[in-house]
Amino acid sequence: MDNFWFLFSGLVLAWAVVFFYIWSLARRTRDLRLQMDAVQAQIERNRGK
Amino acid sequence: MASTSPPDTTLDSLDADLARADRPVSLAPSPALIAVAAVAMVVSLYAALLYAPTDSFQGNIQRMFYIHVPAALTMYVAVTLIFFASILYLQKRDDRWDEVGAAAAEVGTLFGTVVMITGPLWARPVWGTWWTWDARLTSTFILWLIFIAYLMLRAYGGSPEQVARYCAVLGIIGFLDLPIIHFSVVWWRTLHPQPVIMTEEGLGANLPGSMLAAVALGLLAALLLFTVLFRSRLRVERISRQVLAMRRSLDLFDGENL
Repeated sequence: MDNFWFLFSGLVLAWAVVFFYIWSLARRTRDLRLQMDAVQAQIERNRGK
Repeated sequence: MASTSPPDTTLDSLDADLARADRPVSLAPSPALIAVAAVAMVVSLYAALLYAPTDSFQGNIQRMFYIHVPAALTMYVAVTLIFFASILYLQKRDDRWDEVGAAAAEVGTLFGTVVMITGPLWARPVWGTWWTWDARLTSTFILWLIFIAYLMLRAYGGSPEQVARYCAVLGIIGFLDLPIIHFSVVWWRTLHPQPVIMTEEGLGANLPGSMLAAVALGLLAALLLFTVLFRSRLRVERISRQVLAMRRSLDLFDGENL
């Protein structure tokens, strides 16, 4: 149990940073997909005019 | 041409944009790669916490080695990738190399941050201090700051061409710090230990087999995670540029039509 909390904190913080980044990448991908869909819809609307 | 519909040439260009817009999907890491990376991470965690023997001098805190060192070596890989992408961008002025640099820099910053977190948490119980301005720590901190500067330049740097050029130069400067980091413990007297993996006697020659296996697994897991995140980030970069190009084509910057 020596220095357990230092090791535990290191593991938790390292993984937290990685998971936060994965979450942020997933959110950005989803937002971009929505923007792409909106632009494509606008293109279709312009095409129909 | 007073009509509200765009001219045919614009429509052709948009069709081409739409066709290209599907390409980033192919960059996405496959489910198999993601699964292999996840399994490797779980196995490496098992190896670090349970398989590797307890260090007789440092105790359990030495297990930080199996996260800290693979993260640092993966950061080296990211910096090297940025360096080659920067050289190729400056040589060919091909945006794809700029995209590679941008993606590698962000994921490299992530691994650099893991190094900067685990290092002080390991140092405090072993050295009695969270931080000291010795050569290895300072040069690593400088590289991390270069990463941060690179990301800030990407976000606030100005025109895309200018940003790409400046980032390429900064990426090359960052790479110059790499040998300083690696050899700092040889060139100067430092608190940080000498290299234990890449040594003159050979790869991991001074490590017991079980410790070498655990750190090798950690490195494999970190490299697989890097690959997954790098490809995902590269896809985000491509889609983002694609959306920007299409919005420019449609003149939708005011957002009213969306």
